[in-house]
Amino acid sequence: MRIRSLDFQNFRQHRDLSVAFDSAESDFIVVHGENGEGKTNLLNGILWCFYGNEGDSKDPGNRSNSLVSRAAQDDVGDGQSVTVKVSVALDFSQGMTARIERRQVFQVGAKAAVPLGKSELSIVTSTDSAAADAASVSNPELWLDEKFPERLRQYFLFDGEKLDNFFSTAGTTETVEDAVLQITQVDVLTRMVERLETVRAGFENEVSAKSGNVSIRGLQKDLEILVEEESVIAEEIADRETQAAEFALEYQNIHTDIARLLEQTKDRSAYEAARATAAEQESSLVDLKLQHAIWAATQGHLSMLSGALRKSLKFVLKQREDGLIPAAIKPSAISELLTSETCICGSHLGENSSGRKSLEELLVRNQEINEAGETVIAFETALQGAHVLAKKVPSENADFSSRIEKLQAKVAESQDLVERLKKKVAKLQNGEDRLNSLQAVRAAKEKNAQSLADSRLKQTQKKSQIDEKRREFESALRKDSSLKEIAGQISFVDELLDLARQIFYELSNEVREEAESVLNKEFKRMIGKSDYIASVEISEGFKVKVFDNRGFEILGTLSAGESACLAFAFALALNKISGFEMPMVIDTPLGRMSPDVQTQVAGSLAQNTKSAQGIPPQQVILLMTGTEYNDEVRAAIAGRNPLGYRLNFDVRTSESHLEVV
Amino acid sequence: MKASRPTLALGQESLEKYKEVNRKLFKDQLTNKDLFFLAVGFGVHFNARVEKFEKSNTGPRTELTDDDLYLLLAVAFDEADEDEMLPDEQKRNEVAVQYAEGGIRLIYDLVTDKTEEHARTAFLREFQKTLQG
Repeated sequence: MRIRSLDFQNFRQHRDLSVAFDSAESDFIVVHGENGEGKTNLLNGILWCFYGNEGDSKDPGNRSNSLVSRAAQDDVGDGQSVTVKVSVALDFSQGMTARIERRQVFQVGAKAAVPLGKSELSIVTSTDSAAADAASVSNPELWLDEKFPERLRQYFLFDGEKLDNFFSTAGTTETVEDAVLQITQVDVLTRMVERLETVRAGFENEVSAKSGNVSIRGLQKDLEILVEEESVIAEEIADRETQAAEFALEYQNIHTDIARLLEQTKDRSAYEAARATAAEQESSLVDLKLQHAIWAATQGHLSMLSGALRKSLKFVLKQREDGLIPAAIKPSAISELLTSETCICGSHLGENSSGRKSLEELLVRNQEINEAGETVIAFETALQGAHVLAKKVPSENADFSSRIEKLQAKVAESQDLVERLKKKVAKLQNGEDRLNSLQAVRAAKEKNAQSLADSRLKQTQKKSQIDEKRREFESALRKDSSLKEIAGQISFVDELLDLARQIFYELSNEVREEAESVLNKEFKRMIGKSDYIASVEISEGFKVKVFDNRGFEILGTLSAGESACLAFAFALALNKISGFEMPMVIDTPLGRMSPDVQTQVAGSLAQNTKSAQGIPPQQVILLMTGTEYNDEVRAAIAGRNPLGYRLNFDVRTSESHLEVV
Repeated sequence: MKASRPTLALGQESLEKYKEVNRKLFKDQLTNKDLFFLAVGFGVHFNARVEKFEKSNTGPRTELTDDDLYLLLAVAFDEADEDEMLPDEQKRNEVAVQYAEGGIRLIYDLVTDKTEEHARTAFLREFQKTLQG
């Protein structure tokens, strides 16, 4: 089935829009335009045409009067009428065609356009494309319900941004189960079972009203109590199953986390090494500062006393100038020269030589040096030594400071590295916590499983008690002639109920397995990571599970793009198992995805909906914004030969026009 | 000058300060003489002479060399007039212990209520100041 053409008249900004999708060209259609140019109203128009409302469209204006084109209202003026019409032409396989048209007359008022009566739906069908035998369908609503059941519309005509709701945290199982059972119409059996149960309850009430037999009433009462008790147990089981599913998901998520964290153990080694280095450097720094302090104490004080040293040295120089301090000579050396009678220059130091006389005079003068002079000389020597040391203090201090600064820089660097690694290692610490959580969850999971098993056993026992009591009750009924007929009817309903439940169980398993198979295939094709994603499963409880190649369940850890791919794959799977061959019209299909995921999903969508092995292509109409329909996305879908249209909104006329790109 | 070996009497109340300073700043690695000269250095540089204080019977004595005594002499001479002769032994010792008393109090104030590391950092920072002027 495919949409061949669309005709909109006075429907919001689509005052006069007509477009035909020629099957010879392509069944992959892209309509793009910016926000407010009418993309969503194309989808809304189709929904309104089929169902007379726009459902849960993201457009909040779900009011009849808002359907009317503003320009049309302005043209006709107050009190005049405007007809809104949307027509969708469809091609079915084997040449059958249909034109579905809905129209609604509005009276234009000062503030709003008021609908005059209900909208009218008409459908004309033909068995060939030439429409030679065109005929109106007598009951168009019924016809539509067979071809396009309204309850299934969310899987074919939908807002792409809502796709991820299938796998949102709350109600996932119910959503998936509802979708699979609805799309395959197996849910009809559920309603049948409910109906039969109501009928049965009615018969039992009838028994209660008519019967004067005390024992039968007693049995009926007992039966009611048992049924009530069984329903309490069933609720307990449902709660425990929900808990079990939650525990299982949590357990698997923790397990996945731990597996990933274990891969990061090399960070711990690096962290330990960095910590050891930093600690060693810090210790060296403390030692160096201690050395510096000791040096400052033992040498630095000379620098502090440099003022006193300078003044004392100045005093000594003055003493020298005053002649109090002799030239630095050694009397013993002069005595040796006199004994040897030879000067160091080689001159003879004979008895009457002038050299000998000079040296002898020098010795005499030297002997005249008083005690104060000796003290001053010794003082000078000490001062000179201290002064030399004091002068070295600044440079030695600078050397210490420089070494300390360098070491401090290294320490800071090491500490920075330690901090960076610490953050990574914190995850490992977290991993240890996760391990503890894993054990706690496992314990809770096992406890819950045991309780669930107990409850199931209790339920089985209770059911057998009910069956026994029911047989007893029905036997008693049959013995009572006035209630024989009702007894027969109850037995018949019971047989039907058993049968319906059995069929439901078998069919739901069958469609679940089929959905699982298609979903698995579609998702793996779409994700393009078959080496990473091992499989997708839909469990008996209709829970979607994704396993990686190590066997870990990773649904909870899928990226946003992967989740979107899963949701699209699910939509495609639903479409394929439905047997309806319905076209898909998706508004904002790539809205919430990053650019690379947009490209991947668009490419996969184009690839997975084209014809294959004799299966005709599935028609897809994508309503995209300019951001979605970028160059990369265009390139990704180019192989599908898409038909491109652009919506342009004219602010002067408040109308949108569609042009072929 | 013939070197005598005097007891340079430390302040009675400062004996504990010397111990605390040695423990916190130098891990008890300084001798009494080292500590005394450090205190004298600080006292002279920051002009923190304390003239009146109760003296103890303890102080550096046998470990002092001639050079050490001449250094103390320079300290005492620093306050003498230009044309004055060198101070006598008593004067030298008196001036030295008064500066040491002031100096040790300053250093003790730097280290008190601090961890070893912080005390050492504060001491070195103060020492750097003495080199700048």
